[in-house]
Amino acid sequence: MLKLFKHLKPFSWQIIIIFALLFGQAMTDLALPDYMSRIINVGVQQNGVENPAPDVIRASEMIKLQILMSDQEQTIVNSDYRLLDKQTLSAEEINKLVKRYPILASEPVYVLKTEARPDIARLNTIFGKPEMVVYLIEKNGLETLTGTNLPALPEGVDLFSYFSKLPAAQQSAIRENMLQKLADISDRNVRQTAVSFVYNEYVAVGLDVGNIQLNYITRIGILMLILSLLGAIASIIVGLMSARIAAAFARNTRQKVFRKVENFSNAEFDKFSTASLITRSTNDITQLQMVVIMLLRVVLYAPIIGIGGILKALGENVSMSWTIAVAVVFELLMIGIIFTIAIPKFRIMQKLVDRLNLVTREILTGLMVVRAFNTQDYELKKFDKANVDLNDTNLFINKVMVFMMPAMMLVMNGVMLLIIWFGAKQIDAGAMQVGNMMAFMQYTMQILMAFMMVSMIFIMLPRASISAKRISDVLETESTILDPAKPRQADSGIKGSVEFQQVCFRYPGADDYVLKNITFSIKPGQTTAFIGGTGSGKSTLINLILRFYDVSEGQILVDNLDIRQITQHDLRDKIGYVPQKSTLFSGTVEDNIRYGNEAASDSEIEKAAAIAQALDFIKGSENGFKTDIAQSGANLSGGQKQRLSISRALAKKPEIYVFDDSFSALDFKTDAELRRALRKETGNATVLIVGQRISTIMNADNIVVLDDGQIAGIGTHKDLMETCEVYRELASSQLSREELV
Amino acid sequence: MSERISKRPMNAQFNKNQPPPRHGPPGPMGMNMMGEKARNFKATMRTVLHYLRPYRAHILIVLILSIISTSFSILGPKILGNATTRLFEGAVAKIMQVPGASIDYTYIGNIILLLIILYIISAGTGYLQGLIMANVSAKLTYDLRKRIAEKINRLPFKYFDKHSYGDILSRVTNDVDTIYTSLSQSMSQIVSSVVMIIGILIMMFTINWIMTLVALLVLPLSLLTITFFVKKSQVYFKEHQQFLGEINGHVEEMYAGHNVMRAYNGEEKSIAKFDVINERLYGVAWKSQFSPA
Repeated sequence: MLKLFKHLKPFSWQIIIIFALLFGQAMTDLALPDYMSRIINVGVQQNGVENPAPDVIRASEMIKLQILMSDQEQTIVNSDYRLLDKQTLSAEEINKLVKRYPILASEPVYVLKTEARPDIARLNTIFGKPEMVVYLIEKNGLETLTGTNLPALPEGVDLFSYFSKLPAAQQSAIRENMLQKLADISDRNVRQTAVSFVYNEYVAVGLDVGNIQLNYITRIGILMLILSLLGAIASIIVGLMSARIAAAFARNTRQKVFRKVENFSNAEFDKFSTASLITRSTNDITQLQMVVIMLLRVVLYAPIIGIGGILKALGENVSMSWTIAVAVVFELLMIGIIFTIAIPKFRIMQKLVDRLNLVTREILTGLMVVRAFNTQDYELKKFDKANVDLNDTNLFINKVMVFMMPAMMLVMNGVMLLIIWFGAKQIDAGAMQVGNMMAFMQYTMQILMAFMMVSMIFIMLPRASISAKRISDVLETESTILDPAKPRQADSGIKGSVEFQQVCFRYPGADDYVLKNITFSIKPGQTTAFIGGTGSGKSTLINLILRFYDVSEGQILVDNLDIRQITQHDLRDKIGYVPQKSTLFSGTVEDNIRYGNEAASDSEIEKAAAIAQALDFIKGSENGFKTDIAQSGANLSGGQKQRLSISRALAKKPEIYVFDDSFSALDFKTDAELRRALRKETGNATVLIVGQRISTIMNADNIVVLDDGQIAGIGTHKDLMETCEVYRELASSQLSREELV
Repeated sequence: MSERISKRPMNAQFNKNQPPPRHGPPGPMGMNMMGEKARNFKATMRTVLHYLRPYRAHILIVLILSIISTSFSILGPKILGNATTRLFEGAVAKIMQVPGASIDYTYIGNIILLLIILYIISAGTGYLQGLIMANVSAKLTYDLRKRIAEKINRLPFKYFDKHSYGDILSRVTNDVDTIYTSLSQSMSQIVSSVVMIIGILIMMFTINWIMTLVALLVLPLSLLTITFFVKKSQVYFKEHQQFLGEINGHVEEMYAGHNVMRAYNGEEKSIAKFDVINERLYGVAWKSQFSPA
């Protein structure tokens, strides 16, 4: 898995930018609950009044508050506030100010100086407790202050005016006493009560309090909107960049894999199987592309939001952080359990899919045999077993996965309940406000989501790592058939000789030899036929000449050179190969015939088609040589494909023709005509024909009879009929008595 | 000779709905399965529903469970809201120094107890519903595979001349697998989404119908933006599927005809063609993948 991701290295810079953007997005996401908390706490609960330090206050109230302040505090307040009095102001000014502060018409007020605003935090602490005291006295009367050593008041005397007349020492003693009593009360509660005082004061001054509240909420709301917008923009850019990176990664990997596979020999194709190689080059890579996107968008994001969320939640309330720990532990526990159960099964799954594939493939390839021997039931039972196994595993995994969603939801909801219950106690104790609790809930949610996202990745990862493994397996496999370091040039002047010297062959990894001690030689211009029963090794022999496999022992000489000493390109240039199963490529008819010889002229193409008896049906179709051929020639009949496949070999004008049972789909008449034309054309070339039917090869210069991987006889038809038992048996089973002679 | 190269693939008789292959560049093999699937969505749905017929009873139970599970999970926040409101009131009363004001723990405690029960039921029914669906889709895929295997044994040989093994194999494994995942996941998801939307709407209206209307007003706006993006990305998505089909087609063709390709020294040609398609695929791949989520 990691090996493959080193291919992401060229994109490191872009990934760093993505990381930075994700960081920004996380910051906005994390800031939002904070603002929501402020809307609840300040906007709703405190009617939009933010600070205990009032913007405006009646002079009469200010006096009461100042009584409760120390001398030093009083000086600060006096310097930060300005007294507005009807007596000292011009009429014009009064008109203006009365509109803002209606109470000014009847009594003087203090307003906060603009330049003092930066110091608001200091003022908040100074005003907090005095405001609380005054508020409580005005609301609940003097009982609030019982136990503060205040001497009994004479009837009808205002407390504050009485207090102000006391000697300074006594004043400060009472003040100390009072503050001490308030010390138990939390800052939050002081602040909230103080704000209630300020709110009442604003009402008394005649401010539009409804408007203050609305303004506050709108202001915070707009801020939240801007933040969300910024977050969305960051997220869009991240999406764009990660999609690009993933697509480029997929492109590069796909290219590497394809190049690799194109140079694989048949040994590697056998090892991986064609179908598996196709999956590895297509689906597996698309899978990885998805994973890269997920990695860049989710895996990078989750830790940022997770850690940020924890920090923020701790900022709201440290004493409740254990709820987060509980939630995370529960979640991790659940994910852990699910994965220890499911992951091994995921691994087995892939094997079972392969098994089902294998069984199906066996049914398909052995169809003829199966039907001939009526063993359908046996095959179906085998298939059923593979089917049941796969299904059971699949069902098991699904059951586990299905459990995950509801369980996760339950954990989340449970944690929310936990937070409400213990949050209520914290609120009761004044350690937090309702808004803070809500923010805490949201942070917890974000943290859990982060863990959930990471766990989702862990679901994808096993599958993705299988894909990654499959791809890197291909990339790490070197073709077993390589060109020599110093290839020799075929310049001996001999063109078209083929010689086998003591050739033995077994498939890579197999124990049994498919071909044993094959020795023969073919002179240029000769036609040689290979015949034998199914599994006698005819096609294998042909594959060795083309170097689709390398011999296990012995050597093969073409034009007197060991085929391992020249490049594969040079070797195959000499050979015109017509395979058993006609393979055409998408493109036009002409493209296909020209495939082996780009330089062929139009007339040469036409000639090749004519010899292969393909001209009639090509000309007969609307677009002639420009007719499109669908993928793997799906729009052609078997015979048509075979004839085009022969044309392709002819157009190449090779030294050696190899026909691997290439006339099987032709009707008798076409077959005869084709052979006649072929003999004329291939006069100087060496021809190797693999055949099933003796009638089609009996005229060859030489016939090689193969039986169970060994040569049973070599010679002409006549010779073999006399000397070779195997050949005689084959012949008598195929030919009528007259033909045999 | 009356032979002609037929314009339609030989397998047309098996795939009546398949349109004739396109002619001319960029190659006729662009029609891959994905494109076919998207086009025949309705027909596909009908087929799937047909296969589901024997499981009507199961699906009905799944529906009911899904409705219970979803409505409980919607009810949760509403009831939870009652608790927070009461908590808020208590807190405010305390701040306002209302005599005897305190947070109503019995009320909140009761609600929390109720919610615990609710959430457990919701999770339980949710799990049960998933279980049933998983079982149904497992049975269904098993049946489908079995039927395909049996069918293979009955098909005329000529069918196999026209269908590559790879094609048939991918029907047995991949295609059935796709049905499995879409059944076990999408089905219950669709059901619970629908119940969710209806339920949440009802909840929102009972909480505050004016705010709900305002929220609903935003819907057409977001729908417009979504359709804009979807339309945009659909163009790329289509192209992406086309190029993906082309490249997969080329890979399949070249790997299947590996021997012929090698015998005719076609490596360079094949790689050159691959590179062209691959580059084009990259050009649309990131555009189609990018969704402003």
